[in-house]
Amino acid sequence: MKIYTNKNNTGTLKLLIAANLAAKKVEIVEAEFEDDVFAGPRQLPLLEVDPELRFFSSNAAVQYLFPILDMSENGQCQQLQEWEATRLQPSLSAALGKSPASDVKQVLKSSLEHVNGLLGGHQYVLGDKISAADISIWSTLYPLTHNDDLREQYLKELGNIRRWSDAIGGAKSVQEAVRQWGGSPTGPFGQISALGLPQVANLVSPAGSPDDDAEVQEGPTPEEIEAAKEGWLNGLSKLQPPLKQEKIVLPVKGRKNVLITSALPYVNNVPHLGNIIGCVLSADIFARYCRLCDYNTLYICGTDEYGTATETKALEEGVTPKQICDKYFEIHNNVYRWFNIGFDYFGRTSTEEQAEITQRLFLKLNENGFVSSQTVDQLFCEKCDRFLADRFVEGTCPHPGCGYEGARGDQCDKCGRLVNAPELLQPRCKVCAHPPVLKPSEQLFIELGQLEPSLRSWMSRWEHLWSAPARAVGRAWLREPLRARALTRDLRWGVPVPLDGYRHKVFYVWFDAPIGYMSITQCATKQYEAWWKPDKEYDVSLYQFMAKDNVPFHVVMFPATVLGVNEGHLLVKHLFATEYLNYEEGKFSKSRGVGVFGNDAQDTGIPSDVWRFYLASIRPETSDSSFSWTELGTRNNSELLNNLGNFCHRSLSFCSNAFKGLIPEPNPRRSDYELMALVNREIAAYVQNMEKGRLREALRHVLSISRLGNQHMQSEQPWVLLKGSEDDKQRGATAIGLCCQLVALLCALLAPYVPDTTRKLRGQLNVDAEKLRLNPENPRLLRYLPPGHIIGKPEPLFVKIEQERLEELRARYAGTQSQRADKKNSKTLDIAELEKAIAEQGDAVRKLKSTTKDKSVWQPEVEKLLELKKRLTEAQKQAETRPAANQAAGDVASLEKAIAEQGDAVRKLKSTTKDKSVWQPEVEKLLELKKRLTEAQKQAETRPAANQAAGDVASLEKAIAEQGDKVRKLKASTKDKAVWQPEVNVLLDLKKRLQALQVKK
Amino acid sequence: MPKMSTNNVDVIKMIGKYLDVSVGAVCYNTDKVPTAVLENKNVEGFVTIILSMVSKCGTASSEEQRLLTYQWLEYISMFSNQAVANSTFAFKFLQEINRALQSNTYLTGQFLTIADVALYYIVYPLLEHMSVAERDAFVHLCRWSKHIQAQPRVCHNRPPLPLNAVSLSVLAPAVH
Repeated sequence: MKIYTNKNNTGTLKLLIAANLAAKKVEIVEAEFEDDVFAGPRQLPLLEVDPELRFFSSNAAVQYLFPILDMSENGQCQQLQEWEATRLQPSLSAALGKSPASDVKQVLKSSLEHVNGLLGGHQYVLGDKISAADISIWSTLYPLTHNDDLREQYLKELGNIRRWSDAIGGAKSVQEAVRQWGGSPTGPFGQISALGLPQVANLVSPAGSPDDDAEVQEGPTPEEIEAAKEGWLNGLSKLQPPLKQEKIVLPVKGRKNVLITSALPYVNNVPHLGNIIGCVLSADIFARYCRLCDYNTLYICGTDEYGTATETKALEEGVTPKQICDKYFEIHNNVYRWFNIGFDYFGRTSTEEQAEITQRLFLKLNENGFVSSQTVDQLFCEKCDRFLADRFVEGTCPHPGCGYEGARGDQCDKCGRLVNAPELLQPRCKVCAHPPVLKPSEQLFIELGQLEPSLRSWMSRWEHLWSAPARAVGRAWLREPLRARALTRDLRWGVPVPLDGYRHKVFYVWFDAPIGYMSITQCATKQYEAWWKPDKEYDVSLYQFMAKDNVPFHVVMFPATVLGVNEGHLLVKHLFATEYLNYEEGKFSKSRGVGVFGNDAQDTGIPSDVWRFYLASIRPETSDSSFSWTELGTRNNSELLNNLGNFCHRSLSFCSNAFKGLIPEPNPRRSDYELMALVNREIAAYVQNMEKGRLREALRHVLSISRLGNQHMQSEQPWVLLKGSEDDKQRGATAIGLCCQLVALLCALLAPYVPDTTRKLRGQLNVDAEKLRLNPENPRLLRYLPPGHIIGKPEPLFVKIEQERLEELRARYAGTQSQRADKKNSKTLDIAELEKAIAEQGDAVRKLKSTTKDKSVWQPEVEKLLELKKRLTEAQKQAETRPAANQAAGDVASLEKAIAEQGDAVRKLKSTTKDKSVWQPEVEKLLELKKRLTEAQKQAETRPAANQAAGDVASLEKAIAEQGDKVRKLKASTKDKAVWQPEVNVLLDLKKRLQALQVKK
Repeated sequence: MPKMSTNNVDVIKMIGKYLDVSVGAVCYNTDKVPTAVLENKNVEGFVTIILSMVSKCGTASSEEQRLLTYQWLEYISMFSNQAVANSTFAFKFLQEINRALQSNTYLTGQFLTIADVALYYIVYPLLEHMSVAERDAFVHLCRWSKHIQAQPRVCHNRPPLPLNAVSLSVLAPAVH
């Protein structure tokens, strides 16, 4: 047997004593937590009986080495050992550490008294026989019993322990064990677990390990404490002067100027949560952070409107592309407004500015010799009579080894590589599925190959500032030589090419869309070149946010264009791309309508701040992440409500109740400055992560601050202090003052994430946004609330989201959008229609099953059938309960009366007040009543008809006879239960209905 | 709705349900140590109460198996409170356990013990709050959790954790 151990570990002493008492041979091997000897938790000593049997708990090892035969004592021995491991050992180690807190010593003393009591009248802790518990406790107490100072300090009055300790220590086998151990009672002692010391349950002060290693967070250094003090006393006066917000934002000399863009969403559909966190929301959080730091910030975005998809959609709906864009632009705009995305300007690409700038850049590119022309054979669909845009051809991916059948004409979704449409194997027109033919057409190309060297040198210089996904995509792109890429298309909806011979063509969207950033800046400022071709004396940086799939256009195509134009345009400096966000366990998909979309989020009734917070906290920064309803709930309830909300509300309520809202004058002591130093660490980490676009990480540090605040409140217990002595009262006041300042700090740091909530909180704090700023050069806690400041009225900031609500939402947004729509419609199907549908579907399934054995073919149909049947049962149930419900709903006459009364009430209210929040609820009641009336009227009309449909006894009997025949025949012809079971069910159903009717009669 | 965190008293109660043993009242004593009364005897400590319940069930196990179970329960008793309270610590705690499950099907080897069930109850809320990406660091633990929650008796009313089956079985096949 081997014992792996570090130096001077009292746990090892246990093992050696047990082995000696049991006369077992053991070998000692030196080990540290870094060594590769652990197959489980890293604890020392580790007893290895054989490679299959190892004990990392010294108490278990002692029991193994020195088994107790008397099973009746078993429970007690274990109880004592557990107590030793979870209370005695940790409190003793903490008490022997540097400057132990007084409560730690107190716990140790009471533990020792407990042992002393057990030994009263007994030779050993469990009676008159030595047990494993004696060995464990004796070894752990060794530093106390064998160190004169400590013995005097702790054991002076505990005679039983002294007697017992000396008796055991006198045994020969124990002395031999101590010799083998070779440790010293004065320490330092070897750590028992890589996790440090267990925390003793009822101690407020965490038990510090005697030899804290680097893994455990160090307390603040004297320098940090000094810096915290300085920040507290003078930081506010050293804050940069506030930036004056101009109506039109243009770069300012001597300031950091930040131009932020978010990938332009394609206009053609409603953005889903993945799009929102990938681009606009991330960019918005960052932009708000920049304003917090007084960077001169311009945040622009807009809809990407040109392209074939729009044109086709317009054809489908029989309107112009422009009308389609107008419609969807509004949808986008509304979604983003609801999410509180604070664009400085939200524009669109179908503007004159766009055409002008695109054409100018193109002509320059042409002049510089980077444009060539080629005749290309293009796919032409004869059935649709048009050239097919890349996205309108599908086929098998031509890349060797991929062979994905659903590859698009521009890119393969499976292998991610670009595809040249004519190279697709087995191409088909996406609209009509007709195979297209190749037809020659002359197009213009950009010679990316010639721009490659300059692109490479630019990329290698800046890529270290990009997020990991952006870097990865960029590098992958340059692995193969760049090829010329088509600039023009045979379409009408786009920016016309300003070159003779090509004037009937338009630019490819990939070329003009990124130029949209410039044209939108132009629309916003009328001087786009101030941002995009800044004077050398201005410090202007471009930050771009997007999801991974957009990276190629921003690191290869657009920079190549700009480099080819060669007029000193701004190139991206920080490119913060995200990975993908998944929905529950699957993928968000715009085309299939899976997931939660911008307008859905609004319909849930969950505030946009909660969405913003949750999406930021799962932002797919380093790898894909998943949206989950459960997690949304727990983040809201545990982090926003319990951690943040609680801290803010408690702190402010205290101030409001105990000091009438006047922030008490704090008189910080060293421990308060220590807290500030720890908070400052979190602020520094927040700034550092924000500057690198790691918004999710930054948010984590904000929550840590609120956690520190909660802990401070808990340990200071101002509610106790305020009732104590003068000195206590001062301490209590300081604690509350400090906590309120932390609330102000949190309000500043959270503003980028939850703007509505922080606006409310600023109201409660009674401060302007301008006061709550951050110095990014020297981020630290400032005294945001000046002496004599009076706060407003504290109110809870967040509301709990119940589990049931989340379940409801999960069910509501399951499946695809069209399935959801079906579900809605299906409610109106009545029993007869359902029965018909079931019969039809049953036929379909039987046919399918007879033609193929491939389960994957017929399974979906079977599922549809089962779904229909389920709905039928539900509908039948409802039909039974409806009459009762009708009565409860009241009859038409009484409803009409109620409406008249409510109408009067509303008119009166409206005449007395203009406050909408007062009369709105009453108006809603009225509308609800009116709705019920219409329903009641409808039902009154249809009721007789419904009764008829339920059928009379005679017709049911007939149906049963027929169905019975059918079943018999089916059963005779096949043994496949799946085939006849549905019919049997129909039969049973019929019988049930008959029975029901008969009972009624 | 399940509480955000599970404390040791909750775990003891859930184990009582799992074993179908009536624990009676369980609460913290003044030292914040879980305390129960079993057969008119005061029983203190997380490990001790659980092992008493197991012995009440009368399931026999070898001495070795009993000690291995003890050592895991002791480990949980030492650190679970801290893991529940502090997410940074939880990460380290779970890493230690993940290492143990790399080479074993269950905590103590090839057989399910009460330590597995107890740990599952502790780990459940911790894993529940992690994103899929964060769980990636704990593939073995996730594989094990999936295994444990496959027993209907374990789950009570809580839904099983949604752990992605495909990648788990590829990355961390069960060790037999």
